[in-house]
Amino acid sequence: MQIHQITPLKVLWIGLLMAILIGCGAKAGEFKQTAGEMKEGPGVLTGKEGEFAVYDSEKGGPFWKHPKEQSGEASEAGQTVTAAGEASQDPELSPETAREFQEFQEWKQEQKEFREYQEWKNSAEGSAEYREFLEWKEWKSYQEWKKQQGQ
Amino acid sequence: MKKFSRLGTFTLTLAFAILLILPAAQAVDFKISGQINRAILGGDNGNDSDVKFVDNDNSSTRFRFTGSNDFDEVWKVGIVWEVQMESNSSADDGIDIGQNGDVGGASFTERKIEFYVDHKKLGKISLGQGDTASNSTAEVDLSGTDVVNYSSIADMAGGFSFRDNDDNVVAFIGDVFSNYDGLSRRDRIRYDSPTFAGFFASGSYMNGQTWDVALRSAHEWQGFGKLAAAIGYVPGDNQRDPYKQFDGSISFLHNSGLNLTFAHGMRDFDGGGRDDAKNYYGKLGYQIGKWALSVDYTYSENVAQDDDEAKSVGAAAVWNVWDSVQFYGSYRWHELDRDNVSTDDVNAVMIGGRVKF
Repeated sequence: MQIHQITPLKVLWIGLLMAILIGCGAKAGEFKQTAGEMKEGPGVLTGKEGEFAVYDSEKGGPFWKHPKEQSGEASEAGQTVTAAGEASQDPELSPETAREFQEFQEWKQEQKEFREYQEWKNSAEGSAEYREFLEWKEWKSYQEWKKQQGQ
Repeated sequence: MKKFSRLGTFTLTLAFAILLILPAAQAVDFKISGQINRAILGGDNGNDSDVKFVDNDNSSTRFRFTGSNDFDEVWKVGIVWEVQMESNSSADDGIDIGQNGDVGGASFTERKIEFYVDHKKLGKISLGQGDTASNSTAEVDLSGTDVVNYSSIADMAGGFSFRDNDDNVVAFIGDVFSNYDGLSRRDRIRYDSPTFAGFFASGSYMNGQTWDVALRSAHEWQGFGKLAAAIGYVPGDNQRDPYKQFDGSISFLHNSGLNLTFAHGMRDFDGGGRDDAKNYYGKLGYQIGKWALSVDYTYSENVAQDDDEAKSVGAAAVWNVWDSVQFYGSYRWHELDRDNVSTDDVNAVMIGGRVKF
């Protein structure tokens, strides 16, 4: 049998099959080879993606984590931030963004403390008389302590 | 092997470095995935029976690295490095009934080591070790049971042999059945056209001045089902492939879960004093919930030698217990009719699981 000959009849059959498929309103699908190939879909270690991403620029660079893990990490970061004041509970918060937000919060706290120091310095409590008064109070406390030791 | 590993590691590192160095204005990724597919294989050749612990050659244990970088919205450059490691392959002669030891020397064997350049409108060019254009054209299968039963039936128990009445080996299952599925994987350059109305064409050229071509299609009807098909042609007729070969397969999955698959392959030995060899394969399947069930029939003739007739009937059940885990069971009966020799039928049962990691 001469199977290598591409006869007009073979071409006709293939053309007919193509015409039938297109004519029957079939929509183009994605051709996926399955037999012999690796299983598609999720993996026991790699989760929903089915692949361990060493690097993925669209999902946060090297060793990105799955959204579930990311949200867990963001939640932890969020708790730390909450203690400092405000927090973002955005589940899509990346570790980098959470760290930046925490640093911003710390900077804000430092600014606040500096402002309070300035205010105290400019108030009556910051004057030389007040400092002398505090020293006198300490001197009195020392004397009382010494008196108790003597008894 | 050491040299291969070193070379492979170097190639991979280089490719990964290139992917990272290239402008990352577009998406860049580098990923690792793999699977383990192990099974218990029982067999009876009429004279003796045995139980083996094997790597299921229908879809071997393997892992792969992939990476890609998009450019200018339409270009994509990527790499694929996929290797397999089978300890006691179910298709290896060394696991034959009566062989008490394991097949030694399990090592990594190449499947794919290639890079590709893909353009949305111009198509895709792949260079390296990988699928030839015609590979898998006889293996289109939408049944969901291909992890244990598909047209390459020798993958399940190809290492078992037919015996004569004196228990002499007449032929191995893997030698008398073939689905004539193209040229497998080779070092080649391959082109895939863009998809047009669900169809795309491929061609590849490789060592030995050999080339092949293929046409594939996939279509869906909303509320009815999906159809996939492929045909491949190898003109051969050279020192490496002294034959011509044609094969094709088609599979239809109805929305009810009912599915039908048919595959055919033939080889013309170019006047090498051999009759044309042929293979016919048909499968009826049903998918329900997490289960896929099927029965199939295979007829091969003149595969190992002229006037050989080999038949096989199989039944399979696959349980997709979780998305990443499958358990399966399969029974297969094999018969060989060879002139002047009387052989016993070979029965085989495989039970195992495939875990993707």
